[in-house]
Amino acid sequence: MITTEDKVYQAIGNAVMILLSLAAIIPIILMVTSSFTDNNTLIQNGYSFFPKKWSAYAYEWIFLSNRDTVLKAYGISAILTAVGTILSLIITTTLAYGISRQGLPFRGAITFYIFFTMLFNGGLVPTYMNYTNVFHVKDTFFGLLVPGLLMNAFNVLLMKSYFVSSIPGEILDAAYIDGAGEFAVLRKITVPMAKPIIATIAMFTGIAYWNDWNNGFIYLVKRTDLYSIQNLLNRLMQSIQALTQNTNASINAVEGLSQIPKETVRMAMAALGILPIVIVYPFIQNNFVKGITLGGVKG
Amino acid sequence: MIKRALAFALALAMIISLAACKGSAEPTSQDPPSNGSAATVAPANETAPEAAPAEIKKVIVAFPTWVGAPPDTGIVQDAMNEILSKVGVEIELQISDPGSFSQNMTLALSSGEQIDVMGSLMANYTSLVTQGYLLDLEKDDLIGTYGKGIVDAVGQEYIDACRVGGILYGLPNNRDMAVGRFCASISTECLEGIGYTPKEALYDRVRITPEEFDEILAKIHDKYPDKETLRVGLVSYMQCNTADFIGGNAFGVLLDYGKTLKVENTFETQEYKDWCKKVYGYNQKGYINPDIATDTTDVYSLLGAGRVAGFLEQGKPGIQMQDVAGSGIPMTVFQMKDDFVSSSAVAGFPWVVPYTTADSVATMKFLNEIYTSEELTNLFVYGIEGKHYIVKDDGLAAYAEGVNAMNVGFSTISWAAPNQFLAHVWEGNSPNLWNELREFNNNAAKSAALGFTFDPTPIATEMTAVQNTYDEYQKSIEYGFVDPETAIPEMNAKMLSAGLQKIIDEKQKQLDEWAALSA
Amino acid sequence: MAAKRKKLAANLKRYWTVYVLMLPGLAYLFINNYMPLPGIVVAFKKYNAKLGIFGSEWIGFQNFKYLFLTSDAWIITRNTILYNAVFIVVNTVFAIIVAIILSELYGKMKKAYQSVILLPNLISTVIVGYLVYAFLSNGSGFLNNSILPMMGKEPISWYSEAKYWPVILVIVNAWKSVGYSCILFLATILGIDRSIYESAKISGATKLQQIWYLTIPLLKSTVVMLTLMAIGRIFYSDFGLFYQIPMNQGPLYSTTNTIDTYVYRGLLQLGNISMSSAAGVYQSLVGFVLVLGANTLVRFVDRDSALI
Repeated sequence: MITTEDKVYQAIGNAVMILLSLAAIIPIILMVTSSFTDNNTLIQNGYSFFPKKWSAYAYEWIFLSNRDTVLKAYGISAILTAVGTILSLIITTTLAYGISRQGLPFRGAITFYIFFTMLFNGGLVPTYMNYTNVFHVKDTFFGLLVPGLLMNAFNVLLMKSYFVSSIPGEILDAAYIDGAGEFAVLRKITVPMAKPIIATIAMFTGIAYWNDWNNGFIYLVKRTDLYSIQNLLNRLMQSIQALTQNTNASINAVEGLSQIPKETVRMAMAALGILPIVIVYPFIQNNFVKGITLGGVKG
Repeated sequence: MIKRALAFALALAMIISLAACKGSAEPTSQDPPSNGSAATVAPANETAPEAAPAEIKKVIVAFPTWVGAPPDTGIVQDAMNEILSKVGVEIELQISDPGSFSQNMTLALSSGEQIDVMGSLMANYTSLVTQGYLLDLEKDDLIGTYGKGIVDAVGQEYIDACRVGGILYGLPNNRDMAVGRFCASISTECLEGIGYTPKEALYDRVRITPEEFDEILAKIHDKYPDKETLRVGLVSYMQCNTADFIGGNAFGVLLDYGKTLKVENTFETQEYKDWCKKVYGYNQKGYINPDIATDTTDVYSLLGAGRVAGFLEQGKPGIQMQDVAGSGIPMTVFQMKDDFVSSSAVAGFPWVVPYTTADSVATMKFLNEIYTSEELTNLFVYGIEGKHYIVKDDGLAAYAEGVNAMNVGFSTISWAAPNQFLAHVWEGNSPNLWNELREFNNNAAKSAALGFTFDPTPIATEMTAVQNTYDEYQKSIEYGFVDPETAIPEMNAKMLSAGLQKIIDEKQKQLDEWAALSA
Repeated sequence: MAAKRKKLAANLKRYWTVYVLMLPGLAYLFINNYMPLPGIVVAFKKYNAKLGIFGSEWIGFQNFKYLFLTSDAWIITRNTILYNAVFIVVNTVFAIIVAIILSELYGKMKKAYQSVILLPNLISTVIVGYLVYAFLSNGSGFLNNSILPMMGKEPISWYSEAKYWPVILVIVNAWKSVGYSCILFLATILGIDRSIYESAKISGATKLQQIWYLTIPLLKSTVVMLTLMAIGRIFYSDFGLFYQIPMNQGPLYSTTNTIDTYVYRGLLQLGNISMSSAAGVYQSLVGFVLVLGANTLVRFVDRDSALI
């Protein structure tokens, strides 16, 4: 039964969301049109939604100057994001489940142990020494996967808070009395009841992995062939910037520089960085999030 | 709550003691000899060129290029190793990009990874020295025994200029040490438009007075009101005056091409006031783009697109051809002040040997070769002849057939190479470029403080505060957006209260000590 | 005492599998965060690579001096705290509103909205800086060229007037993060048992009443928790936001300089790892004290919402 009130609410809600969506997407449309603008036109007329002269040279330049590495980097990013998100979900959920159990001995101390990592760390140099000298992740895929990103206290505490507030402890205890082990309780009761938060954390983690370029910069020194797409684009961007700002260039460097569409290429890189997400996201939303979000609404 | 924190603290203490054990044990496992022996095992099966024991030492050479490791690095490395095997050295080129080089080096060196030779471009030589990353190159007469060729190639004077506190930590490279102060590159078409015919250029640059330059700008602005007359900001006051910026910053300078060792406050000098007034005048007359402080578009693109008429730059032989190549239009370069070698110019980005080297002797042998061998230098700078570049009949180098700047498999930053004077000159330049550069360096005025390196660590607190203040005002004042009459005293007062005088005093103190030491 | 110990033993026996489940996560934190932690002492040392972090000379609090002995100390601390406070409030309020609207919408558009408002979060700050520039620049910016003239107003030199930047930065930050943080609230709302809404409807509650009396109270613990975590990072600032978006313009420092940008500018030339580490220790320590204080307060009021 749809009431008048519902209709009014739907109308207002849609109107607000359309406005917000426009606010979100207009600058991004500007980014995309700029990336398809002729470099000289951009310099002469500035950024515009309707450039006088269109050009795809920025994209051409990126692909030509990096030949086959762009596609490979996309592949690495995709694998990294998938593997990272799955591993991260597993260890985040199990840890959050543990500290959500009321009767667990030393629960407070363990929570503090987790919380503490949100505020303090040893700094870049000690972290690097630890990962390279003790765990030897340098110049391996693990250098992209493990440091910093695999799990963070923020997500664990978010998930724990959801478990505590949305899943009554009695249900869990009842299951335990019925003879279910903790693992079975986690798998059969907690996870199904916590789908919305699991999907949310999956999304947070996935975005973090997809957008990360820092690990590649730090841990991939010789194996730059393992660069993710963000690493590759970032390296290009920083190189162009360094080259432009250096007034003491040599003549052959200057020749190379003059062929780069320096203004539009920035925007093209940003577009290439988010393009796969724009393509893939609706599918993920459909298949993965569907059961969770829609299920929640209906149920 | 308290109980919990206590339990946690206890656990933490345990962890720290655990990790501290690990930490203190580290240095022993990093002793150079153990590393060295491990690295020598690999090429045992190669036939030794001489009867000498076939001990090939591995030397890791790290340096940055504009775009990171070129695709053909391995091939070039092999070719270089073929030549180097005669001195018993095998190198590994570890090439990084500008974005990560400095950080990668700090991390690698802090954690004791083997790096034997490092180009300090895009790193920071002084900071490398003060944090203890570098080796004394004269220890056990290292350079005297194995690096004689280096001294001959660059000259003892320049070698001495890389000393810090009397100790030699780096080797200068052969390039333009001098800077032509206050140069401007102007579109020749605009000059023709106002009917100006420049005098003949000497080594690319036409010498005129600042007053003549102002007249040219005024005429161009009248004739081309839509164009930005002069782009300032690519170089700043630092390259347009006669002062020697001690330690590479404006906080305490020597005046008049560094004739005396008296450190002055830049912001109280007449020259600084005059310069800012001049640029303020340019701005008032509309020569300067109001967006200049935020616009990052590169000037060559702007010239090519016809947006600007000219820009300030630092002069050197070959600069005009470079500007033409970059912008794609004819350019004329003017110079209003003298050529000058400042105190910190030589030690700008020397080649250094980090403390994590596995074998300092092999490293010095390699350095000696790269500073003296034409063949090695050409490989190092341009790659493989025939594949990456060719030598034309006039002796100039050019891209090989089918190769261009975009797809070339190997190239490095030529002027950062140890001794680019041994390489071929690239086409588009004067074939005599290396001699011109030598003469340019030799004839330029030299600072009395040449070879002094300032250590900012004792006044680090003041440096951070003063730097932040300078950043706050610099562009507004030096691009002429605010009246210097009021803005300079305001900035100066704020800097003085942030500790500017302490920096100046520290510079004077270190300079006096240095002078006493070298006398 | 004995009974207590017995109960503990029984609980340990009952929950040992939980410990096994938690092991991977705990081990990761140990590796990622606790093993490098002793390196924090570099903040109190005169770092020398040859001596290593632990062998370098102790110099007490000298590396911290530069954070306080400057006339800018007050400005950068004030800016950092105020911006964070405003961000907490503005982003939370916006994110909750958007989440509530989305949760009540029907139809296919809902998914489209959700993906579109998430997009800004995926764009790097450098690019956002250029997009903002496209709107604000003097010569070619939309505001000065199209919108302000349309409203009959004079162009404004945005990059030299510090007073506008608090508003600009708050808007940019909200633009970037609302789509992201609303997901979290959306998840919480979706976890709410729908039957309570049905019964509220039957007893005649209007939509707004349902939102006000049912949804918002149920979001409380998430909000409290997020706020507590944000308080822990109140001395940190998003470097990109305060450096790239205002394009590092000097005249704007009075409203854009924060602890992180100050440290960056100051240490760019010095490259001193001890001093940068000192800044981190200072920021963490203040956050730690504040968040423990706030947490104790929350525990008095509402035990379940507390972070620890």
